Amino acid sequence: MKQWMESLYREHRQGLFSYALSILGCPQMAEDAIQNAFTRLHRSSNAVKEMEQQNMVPYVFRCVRNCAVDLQRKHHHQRRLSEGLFESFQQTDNTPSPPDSLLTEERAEMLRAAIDELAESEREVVVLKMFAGLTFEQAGEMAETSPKTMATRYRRALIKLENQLKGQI
Amino acid sequence: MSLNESRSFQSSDVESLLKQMKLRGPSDQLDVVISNLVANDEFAERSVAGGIQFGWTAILATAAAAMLAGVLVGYSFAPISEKVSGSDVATVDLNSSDSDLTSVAFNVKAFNLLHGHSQLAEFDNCNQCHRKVADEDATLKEVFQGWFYGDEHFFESHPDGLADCSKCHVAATVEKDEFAKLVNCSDCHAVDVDGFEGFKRDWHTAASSSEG
Repeated sequence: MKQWMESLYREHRQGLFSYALSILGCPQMAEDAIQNAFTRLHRSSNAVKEMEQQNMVPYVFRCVRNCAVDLQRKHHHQRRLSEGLFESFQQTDNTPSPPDSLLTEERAEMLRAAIDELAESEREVVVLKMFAGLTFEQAGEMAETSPKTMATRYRRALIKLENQLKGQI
Repeated sequence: MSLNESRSFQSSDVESLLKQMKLRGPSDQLDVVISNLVANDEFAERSVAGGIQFGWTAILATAAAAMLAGVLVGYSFAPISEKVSGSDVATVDLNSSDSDLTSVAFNVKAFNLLHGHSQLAEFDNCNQCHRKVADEDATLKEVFQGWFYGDEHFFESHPDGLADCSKCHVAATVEKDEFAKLVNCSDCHAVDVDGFEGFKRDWHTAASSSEG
């Protein structure tokens, strides 16, 4: 009956978690936010079923955001994004040489810190675009703003990150 | 530093770095919970992390149960003479000169449930959260202003949270060990002579239907 929920969850599991984590900074609370969101969706599944497929993903992300914000307000959780969002630096296929590897780890740490310094709206769009795989259209739908605005925020965020890293390395 | 590193970073470099960052993933337990949710129409809302989720129905029902249980075992609301103990029943010493607390006796279990405190919280040091104000009403310190169950609709309607409880509450009649009564809440609440009769609007239904 509500298989769409599970399939949507499976498809966006990581993205939803990263997004909730970027708001709350605590993995357990992020999972609670997702659970609460899906419980709400479950209760209002008849209304959601009427929704067009393309709007479903932004809607679910918005639910998760609302639940995360609710939890954040309830617990006044002091978050530091970099402590929760990332595990460790991922080695890619073109594994760098040892000296470069050290530098890359440094960059990763700086990047974490730089992400923390972003404005909330900028961090949000980076997480949605980069880690949750949403399009600007979907991110705009979720944030109830235009895709153009989301794209502008994203560009601004990248420039800020770039400048932060430029200044450090 | 090589020439390659000394060149300025560009947006594409940042995107490339971001893509290489390994994201923390959700636990398998969340997968199980969501699967159960999909499989069962009757879903018990509970925390993945094992915490307690507060909803008005659950709060009021459990608080009522806790109060009733307290009455049944003979220690509902203790007389006001002892220090806050952090046990099931706590009271505040009215006459203590070093107390920063308002003179309200309360049942910790019920209080926890109604105010969203952790069941495990100890209340030996209430003045960490509360300060005494001139009208003897309990006012939460700034950092705890939002410590109250409420969804976004609640906070939109109550932007100050519990910053000033006296806006909504009158001081308890201490001698009778009564809880503070709600006042001036008739915009949202149906208030009867005993203080509370329910909500004029079903906030949870409203929240669910307007979710997103």
